Amino acid sequence: MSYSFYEVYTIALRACGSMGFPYGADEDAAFMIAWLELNNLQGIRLFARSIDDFNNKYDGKIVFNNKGNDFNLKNTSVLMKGPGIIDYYESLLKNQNIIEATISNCIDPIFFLPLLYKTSPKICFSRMIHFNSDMKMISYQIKNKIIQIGLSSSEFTIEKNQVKIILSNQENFHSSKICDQEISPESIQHNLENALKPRTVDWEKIKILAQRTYVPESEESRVKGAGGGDDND
Amino acid sequence: MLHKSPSKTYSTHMTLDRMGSRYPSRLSFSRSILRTMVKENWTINRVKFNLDKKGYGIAIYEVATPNQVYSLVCFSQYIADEDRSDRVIAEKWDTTYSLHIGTISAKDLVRLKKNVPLQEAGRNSPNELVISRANKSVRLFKKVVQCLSEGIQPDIKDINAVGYLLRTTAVYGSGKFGLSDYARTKFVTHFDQPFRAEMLAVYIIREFSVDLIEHIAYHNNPLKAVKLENHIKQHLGIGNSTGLGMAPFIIKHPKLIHKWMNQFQKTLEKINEIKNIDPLQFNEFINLLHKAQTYLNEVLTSDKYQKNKNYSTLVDLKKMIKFCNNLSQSKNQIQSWYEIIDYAEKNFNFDTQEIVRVQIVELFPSIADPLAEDMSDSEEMYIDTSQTVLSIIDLIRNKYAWAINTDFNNENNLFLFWYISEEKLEPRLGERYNEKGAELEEPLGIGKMVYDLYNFIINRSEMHKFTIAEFLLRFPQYRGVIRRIQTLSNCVYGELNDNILARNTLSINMLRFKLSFFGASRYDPKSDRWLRVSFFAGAPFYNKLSSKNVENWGFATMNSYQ
Repeated sequence: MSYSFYEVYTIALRACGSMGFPYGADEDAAFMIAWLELNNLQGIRLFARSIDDFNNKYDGKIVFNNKGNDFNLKNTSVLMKGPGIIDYYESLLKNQNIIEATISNCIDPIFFLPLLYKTSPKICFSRMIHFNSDMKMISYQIKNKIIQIGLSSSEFTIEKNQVKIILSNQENFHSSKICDQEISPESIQHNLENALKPRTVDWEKIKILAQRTYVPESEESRVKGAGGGDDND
Repeated sequence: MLHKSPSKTYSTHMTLDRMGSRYPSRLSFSRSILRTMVKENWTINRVKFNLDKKGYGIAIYEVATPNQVYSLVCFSQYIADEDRSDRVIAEKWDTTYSLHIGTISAKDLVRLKKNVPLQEAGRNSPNELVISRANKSVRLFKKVVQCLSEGIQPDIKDINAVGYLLRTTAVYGSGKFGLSDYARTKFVTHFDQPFRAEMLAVYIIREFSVDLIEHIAYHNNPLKAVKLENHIKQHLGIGNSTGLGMAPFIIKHPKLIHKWMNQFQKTLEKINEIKNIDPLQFNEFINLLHKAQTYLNEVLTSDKYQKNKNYSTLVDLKKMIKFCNNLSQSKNQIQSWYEIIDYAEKNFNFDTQEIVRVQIVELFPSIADPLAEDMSDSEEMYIDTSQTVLSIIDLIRNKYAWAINTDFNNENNLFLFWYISEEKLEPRLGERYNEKGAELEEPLGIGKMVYDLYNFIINRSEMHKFTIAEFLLRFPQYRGVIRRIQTLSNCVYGELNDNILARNTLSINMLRFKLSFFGASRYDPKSDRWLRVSFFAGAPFYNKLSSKNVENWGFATMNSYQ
């Protein structure tokens, strides 16, 4: 079955709401999920896979430590903590040109990508590196809403479950030449044209969560609602 | 400047009672789509009309624009009277529609035939822009068929009493049920302005409604049947039953709402810069006020509230016309349109004020029409991470005084809650203390959310120097409301300045506000939560549409077509 971006976003929004994400945090998470799905990066699948880990355990608070810009997510989803972290880095960029940070114990690093994409008009360059499930180091470079994805060279040292994030406001910031895949306005239009196709099993799982936010209509509402009364004129 | 105290004016424009007094204008989407059609020489051709003698079957209308063809496919089917309902939870309709990008292939038609009649239960592809459905007016449809079959024209008073042959109960677009996302629609079609595709579909449904009734009448009595005469036909609109589904849109799309209002206000501001009103133009304005007066005299509603409102508007309009006539006859030249608007604001009800505004706008196509072509905006909301908590406090005090001064300990101010209905996934209103489900409330009570944030931060002075980024790391539960406050800090019309959780909330005011931008007329409330309106009532049908008449149909009356 295929769906529009709107439908994927809406069902993710409702599912997040049903799991206790507060207003605003639910919108951020839904955007991250739907954006990944739109770009064939399996947002719905990732979300469905980790539902049990954070169902009714929303925890978006970030505890500062003494390691500069680094944070330890303690295996809490980026869907919850990612937006705050990227906002924080963005605020630091007002006073410094480059931010380089390591996020530890990150179980779903790919969810940082939509956030970096969203901030890309405001930030000259950003980069994210993490290990994928095959233990290959993947790099994402984002500039002007264009994302280049590829295998990373060994210029950075990170461990499994760590993410390296670099944000720069320098126009001439050095970027590596990696590009196995590119996400651009054109590729996004192409994907919208072809609709989004999440796996049915994942979709159904999320749909059940979304349904928890619906309320049976009252008799009062039925009588006063559209078509109530002399509905057949 | 339009007003000496703009900040006061901005907030008063966005209160529910004022929003519920708005009228369509040159900037409304139904007006701008017809203007575009004429300007760009769009053509509409009925390329398929396979209906049986009773009017059941398939019709297709192709719209050729300079670079693209669009097709509206219409499915007409038999339904029993007891299955016909305006309720959104209905599952059968007399007619269903889809607006498709390009011509419709045989393969497309098979797919559309399988899905479009199911509406919400069907699936659509990104090649479809709009789906809709419409039921026959029980009051009017059979009566008009009978008249035409017997070779006589229906009485225009009967047409006026109802206003339409078919009445839509939903017009969906923008990614719903698999339709093209707006991000794609505005990129690959002509419809880069909001709700243009929907308005085009509705306009063609109106064409179909007349083709359908004339077809049935002809087959009832081929020897005697006649077609509708233009002066009667043109008075027909397309009905629409609108419920609460529209209301949350205003809260959820604040940047767009700001844009629409701002374009309208900008039009007036530009008009107010004109010095010395041309006497001929002023007389034209008086004629337009008379037209609005006749329109209001003719509009029928059974709703007591609306009846009283229309009556008091008629009283005020009469006084306004008298004032204008006196001005017109005096030797002193009227200095600016601001004088007229100001007089209406100081002396008359909101409806009269709005009529004065839209009829002034009517006189200035060169100002209004370009602004009507720029009604879209990015809807992205953002967090200004470097702003401090203290500056949020200032923003709240300046823009949300109405919210922080509301007593939310009073149950009446939290009486309502908005939810999504299990039955049809549509927005509904519940009563917090009498109905179940308040824990699943939709986040639409902006006033309450701002109030909660303000009371949380106001006494925590140690946080006032935090940047918003630092604050949100600790308190992510405020992300949504802070993002909204910051994003709308420069959008003076973005926020509805009333508590929509209050017991006395008249949600139809929100519906009317949005419908006025769509161009709907003939407001006929059926409860405090839904109403009927007409689209394109008085507009020329396609075969008569020209640059000469494309703008003359606002406040259409029974004698507009002589």
